[in-house]
Amino acid sequence: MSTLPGEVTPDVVPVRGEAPALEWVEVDREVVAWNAEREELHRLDPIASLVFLLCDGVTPVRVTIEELAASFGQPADRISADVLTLISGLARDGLVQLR
Amino acid sequence: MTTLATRPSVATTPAPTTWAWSSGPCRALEHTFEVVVEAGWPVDALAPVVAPFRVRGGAHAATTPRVRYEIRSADREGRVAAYADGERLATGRSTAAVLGGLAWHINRSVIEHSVDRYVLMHSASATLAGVTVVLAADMESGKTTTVAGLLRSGFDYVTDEAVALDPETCLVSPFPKTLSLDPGSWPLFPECAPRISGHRLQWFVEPYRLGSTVATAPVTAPEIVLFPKYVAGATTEVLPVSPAEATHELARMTFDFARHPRRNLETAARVARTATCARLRIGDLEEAVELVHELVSQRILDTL
Repeated sequence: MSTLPGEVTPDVVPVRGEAPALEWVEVDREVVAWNAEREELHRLDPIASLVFLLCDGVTPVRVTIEELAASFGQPADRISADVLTLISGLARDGLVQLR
Repeated sequence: MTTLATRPSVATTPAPTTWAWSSGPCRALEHTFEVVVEAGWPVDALAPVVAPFRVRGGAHAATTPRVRYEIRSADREGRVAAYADGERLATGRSTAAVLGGLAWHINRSVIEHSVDRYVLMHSASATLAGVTVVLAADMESGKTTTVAGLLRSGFDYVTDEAVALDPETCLVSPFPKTLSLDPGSWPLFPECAPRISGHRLQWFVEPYRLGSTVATAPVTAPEIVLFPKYVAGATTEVLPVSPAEATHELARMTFDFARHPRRNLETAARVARTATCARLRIGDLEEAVELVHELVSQRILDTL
């Protein structure tokens, strides 16, 4: 399974930010989130929203990749880089934290 | 938290012990105020700024003004001035300059005092046949021009500045300030030209001059949410947006969003989930008005 440079690896456990630091709503399978510290609004596309919703603070990225691969009928290797990039972006925007 | 960008006050001549005219209590959403005028000032010039908010009838006694605006006549240098609780807001040799300062302060105070009670979105709004249309956009996008076109075509007026949503019901409370038309829109509304000539930065246009009436009680939750944008020479068209995109845009248009982010986000989402949401690209005002009428008709048909 491939990895990207940086802190996000398949072994990290991402967790969504919590209120009041992060407020979010899911609207028709897309997430709109408010990062209170940075005073920034974000709208996530459906794929990013799905990954965000899977950041439950329990599930390692490796398992998330496997579950998404199964859902989309794709080999894990094919989607892992995209998932790692998405989680890295979510972390960079302060929407998830990495454990 | 929004604060009023007040300017330093200066030493002034004492206020008169009696005023030539008083508006009585006025209410605009949660902002309450009174305007008093010194003798020699043209009181009629105040009407566009003050008249929509004067309290009538039984509510008169229950309204305690938060702010008293004082309009002073010309001093020895010929300058007129407006004050808010003794602090100078605006001064100049023309009534227009003073009215602009007064209108600015009232608008800012309405926002500051009302964001706890309402979800306030930077939007215009009008209603027809029980269908409330919201036009949400940044400044200079054509909100006021579009809502003026809607009023002229039969809509009732709600606001051209801030849509006030009850966070529990999403009903919209009117904030029916007099429309402020920029020069670029003046040729579209020749019937609204000021009756008294003189240099102006904006036209103050009362809704009745467009043949419209003003909503005096909360109107229904928004059923049509449009994000207008005037683009010279463009084809006028409605471009649907997803509920999530609409939620994001409505949140972005919410005044002082950070003060109640959870409430504001949920309200934006609730409106976006239930309303018809679209971008309205405007190349021609009359065509845009016609498209909005079609959207209203479709919403009515959908409920039958």
